[in-house]
Amino acid sequence: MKADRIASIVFIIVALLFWPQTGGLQYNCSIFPRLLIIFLFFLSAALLIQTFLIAPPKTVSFIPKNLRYIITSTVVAFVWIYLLNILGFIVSSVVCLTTLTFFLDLKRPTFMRTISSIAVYTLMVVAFWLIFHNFLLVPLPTGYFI
Amino acid sequence: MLEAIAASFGHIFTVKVILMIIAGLFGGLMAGALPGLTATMAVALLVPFTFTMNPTEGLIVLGAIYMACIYGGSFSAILVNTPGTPSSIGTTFDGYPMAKRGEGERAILIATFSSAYGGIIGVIFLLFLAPPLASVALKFGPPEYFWMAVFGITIISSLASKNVLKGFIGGAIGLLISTIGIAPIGGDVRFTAGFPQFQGGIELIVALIGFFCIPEALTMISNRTQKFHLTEAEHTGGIVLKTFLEVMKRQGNLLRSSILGTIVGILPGAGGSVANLVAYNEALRVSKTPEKFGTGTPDGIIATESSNNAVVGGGMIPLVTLGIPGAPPDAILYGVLLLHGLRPGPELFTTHSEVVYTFIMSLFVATILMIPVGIFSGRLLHRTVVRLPIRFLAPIIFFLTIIGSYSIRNNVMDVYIMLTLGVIGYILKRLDFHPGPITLGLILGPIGEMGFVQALLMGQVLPNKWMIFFIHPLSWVLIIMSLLSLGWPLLMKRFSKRWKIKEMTIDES
Repeated sequence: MKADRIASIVFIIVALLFWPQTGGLQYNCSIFPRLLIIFLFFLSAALLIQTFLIAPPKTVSFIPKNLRYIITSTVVAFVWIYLLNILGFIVSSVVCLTTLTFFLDLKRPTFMRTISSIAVYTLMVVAFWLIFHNFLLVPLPTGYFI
Repeated sequence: MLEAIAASFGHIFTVKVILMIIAGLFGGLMAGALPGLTATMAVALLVPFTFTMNPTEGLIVLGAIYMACIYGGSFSAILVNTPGTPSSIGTTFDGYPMAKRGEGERAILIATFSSAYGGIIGVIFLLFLAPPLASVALKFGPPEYFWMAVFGITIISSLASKNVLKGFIGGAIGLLISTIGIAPIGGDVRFTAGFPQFQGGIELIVALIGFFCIPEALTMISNRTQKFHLTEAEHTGGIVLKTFLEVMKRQGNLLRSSILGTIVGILPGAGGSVANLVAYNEALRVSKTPEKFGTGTPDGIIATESSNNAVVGGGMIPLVTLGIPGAPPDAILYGVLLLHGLRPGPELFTTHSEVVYTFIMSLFVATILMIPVGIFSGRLLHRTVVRLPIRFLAPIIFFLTIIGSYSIRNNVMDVYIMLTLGVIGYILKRLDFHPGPITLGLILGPIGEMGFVQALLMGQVLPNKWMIFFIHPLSWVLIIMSLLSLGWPLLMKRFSKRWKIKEMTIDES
């Protein structure tokens, strides 16, 4: 219920932040978003009021299990996107896929597991690259490498 | 007409054409199963390969790809809770819970038979009822499109039955995100925070991948101590036949959803993304056990999958009769027809009847062939996903989301947006705001805004411009449907309480 209260306040703030940005727009461009902002504001206000009126049901904790792993994986994913134009699609993908796999592994990585993971990921990424690059003609990002 | 149909069989039933259809089906299935590759993209990307073919063969291959792509979206929806195409959003609601409890193969089979059923109904409508149905599409003006979007939004009351308020907040957020970028009428730039990259708006598929895939991958990571993501089911003999009979028993749901899909398909701009949710909502409303929806009931999958494949035939009705594409992939097919010197419109059936009927009949054949191809591919994919440990599956999902969101506009910025929306989606999911209503808002936002503003402009000639929303009879039909859809869950709750009280008093007496 506390989380709902915070969420409703965040949505009210979002609505209040969006509203002034419709100020300089033409009528035809602003009318629809304005109605939506009003809609969001009132719904969020109703949710806020609901959190005070209705007894809180027993819910799962907002903080997930393994938070450290979730945050680190998300950071790795952002780094992966950043590396796409530096290392290229194939190299960055193999590096980040292998990193994530070892990070999520419950056992300590051995030499053989490392080599086999890299080999499997290289094959998979190259196959995708060939399909997209040669067959579907979608130019995938390149950097110093491909 | 019958002569043209008979002649079309001669064109279709050759080894070359059948092999082309099967190849198209495999290609479409793979594209559909990959989040990010939509039916529109798959059809558009493969158009150059049809240049060397004659018009009939080119259309046959693209038709097979389109049909299979819509169906293929159900694979990822069922196995990893991620709709492969926007047409399979509703399939995640019941398909994924079934897969989680070890019934993934059954869910895929249900999706296969329902998709084939819906596809056939859509083709039958296209074959026999195209001209009268196309005239319905012409009656839809901007006010009707606005009310259709409102009706679509009211579906949230069924989708988010646990907390309707949260569902509508999610819908409002989706609608608001859809307004980012250049306004469709007027052309002002809105809510871009000064970033020129946002001027093109948030791509629907990018948002869809973000809101569905990333939260799922992060949920898997939070459960990393489990070895596998899904429960592996014990292999039961005769599951194909059993599931086929189980699906065919639900004729009411199949027929209703397929007809709804066809009708939504006829309306230009709506497409499978709207049809599957409308059909899901209707199935839930009619059901005697609505509480089972969302927990893994076959009826949910049947509704969404039969309706989205019926859209394929439905969307082609205005295309071949009026020259108006019903759904985005139909616009690509429109271009292909023009490329081959065929002008879509009323005269197409008379001047090039052989090509048109061969194309329609090939869709029918492709739908039938989709069953064995789908069962083979679906089972293979199911076995792979079920046996893949989380330490591999979660990174592969990240990989697919990156490649999928990048390939839409070849833009790294889209990948950043996808991941950011995914993280927001995960936080919202933890707060009980589910991705369904948000994506529904994203889909309906452009349709609603266009209809709303255009209607207001039309209303300038009236004494009160707002009256434009209430003067057409079709608008009233949609208003009444919206009110019914909005109030239905409340009515059902009240009635079910009364029924329970009655049952209790009868038992006591």
